[in-house]
Amino acid sequence: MSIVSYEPPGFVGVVIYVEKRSENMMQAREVIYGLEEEGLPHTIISDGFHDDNTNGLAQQAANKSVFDVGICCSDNAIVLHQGNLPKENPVIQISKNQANLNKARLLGINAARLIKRMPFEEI
Amino acid sequence: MFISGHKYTHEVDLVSGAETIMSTVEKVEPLEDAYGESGTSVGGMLSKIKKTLGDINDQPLESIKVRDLFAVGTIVPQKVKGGIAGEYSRNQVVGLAAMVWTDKSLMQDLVTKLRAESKIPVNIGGTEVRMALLGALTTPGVEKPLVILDMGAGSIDAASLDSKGNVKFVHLAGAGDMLTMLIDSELDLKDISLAEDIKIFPAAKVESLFHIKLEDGSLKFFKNPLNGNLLGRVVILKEDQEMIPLPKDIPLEKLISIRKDMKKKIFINNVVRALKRITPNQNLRLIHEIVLLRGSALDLEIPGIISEFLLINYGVITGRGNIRGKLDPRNAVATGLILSFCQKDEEI
Repeated sequence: MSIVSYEPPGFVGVVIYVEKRSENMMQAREVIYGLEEEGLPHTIISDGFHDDNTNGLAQQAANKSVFDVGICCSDNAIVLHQGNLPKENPVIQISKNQANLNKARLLGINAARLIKRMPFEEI
Repeated sequence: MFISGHKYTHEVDLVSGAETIMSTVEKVEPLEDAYGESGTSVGGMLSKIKKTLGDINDQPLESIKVRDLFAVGTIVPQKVKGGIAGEYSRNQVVGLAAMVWTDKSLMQDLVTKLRAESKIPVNIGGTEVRMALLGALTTPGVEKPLVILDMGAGSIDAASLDSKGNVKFVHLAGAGDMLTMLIDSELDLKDISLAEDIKIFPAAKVESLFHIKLEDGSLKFFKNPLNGNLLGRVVILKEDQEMIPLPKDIPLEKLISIRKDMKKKIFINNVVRALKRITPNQNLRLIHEIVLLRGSALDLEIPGIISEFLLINYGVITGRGNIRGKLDPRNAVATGLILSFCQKDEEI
């Protein structure tokens, strides 16, 4: 399965770290659909990172993004983070046993709304 | 709806609007009674108020009269029946406040009961108006002659005290609670306590997790990030930094303008009406100074709105009560009672 990204070349939108497993990939795809619904560009990074902590990875992702917003889909959780927040205090955190595709999409929508400064959808 | 004065009874159609109702009320002044046709909402409302008072002090319904009416025109969103997408249309409606009156005083019952329960001597110290005047006089810089405006939840009272000590007063319907109701219906909140918060506290918009935009456009920053659910929402700022998000998508500017418009509609109309009745020849320019008292005087906008309006149009100076130089305007009556108890002989 391949994930197609739509951002203009060289532009680093919302950065999404994905740990390479098909379940994570599927959730990441829903997150991207959520972002697309709200019209936000994104960048996928699926290797070259080493950290067991999902929150930390999400923050690293946020620091790479021009919007200062990053997402991490790991084996443990899906996390939405903003660069200037404390590492252990992400904007939204969905643990793996609670996560489903619908929630992943809502997280993508809320990531976009965080940037657009609009009220969140309820997850 | 029927409005009866001393000699005539006028029939007013509610569809003709708030202005027509108010001009009829002014025409028949003093108002002796008002009633609606049974089965209509105005008829139900007026008879319900009368019945409540009748139940409290065991009086027959016939002896309870509506002594003042205040009508405000407003707009209420109404759901379109049969609409598929939940459409709303904006309808003109009239908000009504009424003041009911009875001959029998409730105070004597209260005094008897308090005496029996607390075993402490209880006496009626005087009328509220006189006590409020006495209390208002303790505001630094205030001297006779003066006028007080006592704006509470249910009524606006105005009283004047001239240099010889003569008191003139009037009680009119329509104040804080009516404002809450109108804010609630105009924004279609269906939540009275939220409308009350909107009325009292300033609003702001959460622009990011670290800052909010206040009503006047200035920014306020936070060290710790705010809750993500508040982002992008209009919130009400309560005293202890608590933020209450509005459930609906109401822009900040709209919220502020509706709140101000409602305050102007109710308070300016009613204050002018009250002051005209206590001043000679209905000439507001004869008033020297006005002291604002009670809860509504603590509001963030109402004193400003009244003061600006009266100064521009009539050249009257208005100020908020500063009882004994240190207490807020709600303390006027209590201070007045203590003063009158201590100086029994001194007449105001």
